[in-house]
Amino acid sequence: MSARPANGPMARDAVLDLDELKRQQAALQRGARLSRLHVAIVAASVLVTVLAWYTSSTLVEQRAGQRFEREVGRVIELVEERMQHYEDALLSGVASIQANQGVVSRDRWRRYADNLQLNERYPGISGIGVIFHVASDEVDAFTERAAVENPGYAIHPPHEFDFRLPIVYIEPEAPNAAALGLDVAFEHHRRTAALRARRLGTTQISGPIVLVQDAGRTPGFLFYAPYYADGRAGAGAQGVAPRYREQRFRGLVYAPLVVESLVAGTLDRRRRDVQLSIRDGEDVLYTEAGAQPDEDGHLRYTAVRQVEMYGRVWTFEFGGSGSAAGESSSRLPRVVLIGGLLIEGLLVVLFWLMSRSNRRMIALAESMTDDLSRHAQALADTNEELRNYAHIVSHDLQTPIRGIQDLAGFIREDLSEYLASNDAGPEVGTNLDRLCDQAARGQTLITGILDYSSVGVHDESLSSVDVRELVEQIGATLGVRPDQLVIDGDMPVFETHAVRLGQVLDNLIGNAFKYHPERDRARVHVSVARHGAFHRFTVADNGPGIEPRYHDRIFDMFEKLQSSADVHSSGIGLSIVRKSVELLGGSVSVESVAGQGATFRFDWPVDNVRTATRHAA
Amino acid sequence: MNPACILLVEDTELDRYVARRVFARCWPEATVLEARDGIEAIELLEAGDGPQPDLILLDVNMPRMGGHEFLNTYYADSDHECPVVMMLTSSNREEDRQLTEAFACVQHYFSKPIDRAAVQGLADWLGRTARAS
Repeated sequence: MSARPANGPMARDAVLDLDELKRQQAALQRGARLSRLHVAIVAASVLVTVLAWYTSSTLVEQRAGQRFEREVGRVIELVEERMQHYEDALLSGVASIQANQGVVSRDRWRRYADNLQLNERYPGISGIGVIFHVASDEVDAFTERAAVENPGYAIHPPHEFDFRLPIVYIEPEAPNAAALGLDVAFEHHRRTAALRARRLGTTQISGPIVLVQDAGRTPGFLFYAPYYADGRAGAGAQGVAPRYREQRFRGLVYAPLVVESLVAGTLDRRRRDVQLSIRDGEDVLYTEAGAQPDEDGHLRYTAVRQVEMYGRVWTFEFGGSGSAAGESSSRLPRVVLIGGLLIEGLLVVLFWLMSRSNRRMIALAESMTDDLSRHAQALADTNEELRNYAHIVSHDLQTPIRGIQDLAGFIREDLSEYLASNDAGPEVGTNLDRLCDQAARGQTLITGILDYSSVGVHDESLSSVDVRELVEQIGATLGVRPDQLVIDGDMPVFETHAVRLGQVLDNLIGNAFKYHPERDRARVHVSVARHGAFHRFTVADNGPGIEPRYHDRIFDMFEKLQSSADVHSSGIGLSIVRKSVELLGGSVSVESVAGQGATFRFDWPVDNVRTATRHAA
Repeated sequence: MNPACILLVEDTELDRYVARRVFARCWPEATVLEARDGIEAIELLEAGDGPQPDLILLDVNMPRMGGHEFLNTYYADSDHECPVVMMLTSSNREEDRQLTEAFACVQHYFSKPIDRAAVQGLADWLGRTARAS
């Protein structure tokens, strides 16, 4: 005899939930790959880096450009300032001559030059001297006078013009000896500048020449300041006709200059970020090679400035890298770029590591889920087997017990005359009764186990239940008076697992009467209240109550508090109640004080469509 | 009570004994034939030398050939006239009932053991149908 129950919902539900897990896992796996978001983040970061690099390099460029411009301005300013300084020396020489009514002597000029302290105060100037204007017919007389102060003085070299502009005094004399007696009119640049100075009455410089006293033969020039018989004609005085000046022209105070010395005395190359070359027309006055190229070996900035310089136009040419020596700002854009790219690289590595560890975690979770799945399946199978086992065993046990009951009945039937007679053994009837009792007890236990094991086995269909009707039916079955089973308030009518709900109420109400010491005085109140998604059922009795220390145990299987003589008490009823209620996601509790009755409460889902499967697993 | 012929198909010796005793006590006019499974029952029916049963009490679960198999083998797709069949079961399960829906002759399900009240009911019911026909 076998009565295999149908495959219960439990195993199926476990598998269903695992399917859901698998789906979630797949979604996670998709998410763990390097997604578009990651790519977007890296791309955005690269963009920011490039922007920062561009901005900072533009800024540095701007600053470098500005610095270069400042430097150019400064260099020109310094050169002009130096030239003005020299002009002052010349003009003060003119002033000193004119203070002596145009009379100059070698000694006086030497004193004057000494006072100037050329070496200290006018670095770059080779000397300061005086040139006289001598008409052709006065040359011999002039030479005679000059030879008095300077024995062997002679004007040289000869030229075709009808006037002479010989250098008469020059201080310091020793290094400039070659210049003494030189007629500056002999050469175009020297002459034209001198005549220009005479005509304009202002200081002038000559075009590029090589100074006779310069052994290095580097480019130089002469700086002239004219003086006149009438002091008012000089110093650029306005409203004086050139002719008037020419007539009163007496000579020039002059200074020979080597451009290299001028620049060296003016500008310390080490403190300068630009390289400089100076031209006068086509002639190079000064040039610097190998100044500061930038890291790429190029001069990134160049500038050309034309500067009016005492009658000449000097062309200043500048080149520079735009970066101050040792300044780090020019490297800033590169640092920004490299740093940014480094961060992007790290981001990529980070994302890769993250996604890799995610993948690993997911793989681990997957294998764990698979294990769980197998375990759940195994557990479900085992549960199923156990349930079938309980069902079959208890079912098969019923047959012999029933046989015992039948046979005991037959014996009683067959012995009825003997048992009624006086010589009947007193224990025969009693023992027969005991035999029947024990068999009935076994029967009850087996029925209970069968009921318990079949809870949740059958996927019961739902049907509409009128709870009031159900309770009244239970009362009728128990054979209690209507006043003993009181329904308080409204009872719901709802779609649910009718058989199970009946079983639960039957057990609770039945227990109240079963365990009451005086069944006739037992009274049970049933009420139902809505509690969220549940109907909360309350079954309260006026029985002996249950001590709180037993409250947990009463729901366990075979737990009976009374050693009842009642053969219909299996000790399984409350276990069935709890199992049924919990399978549907509800809960059951008891509230009781010994001697004051007991109140059982359980929550039964209002909507049973899904709860049955959701909580079964 | 009316005499009748009852075929009891039941594998458990005790159950047969119980049935026999109950019939002897409360329906002594009835003749009770016994078979231990479906195969024995078919042999008995096909022998044709004894009385044919008015009523078959058929156990559901039996070794060799159970109740359903017996009905399928002997009555389905054959011209054998099916007498009234009462199924004896200890499980009283819905599935068992569904299996016999195809047989109009299956009239009732009894939960074992068969007792006096059941036998009395059977006798009354058979008497009524006999009178009606």
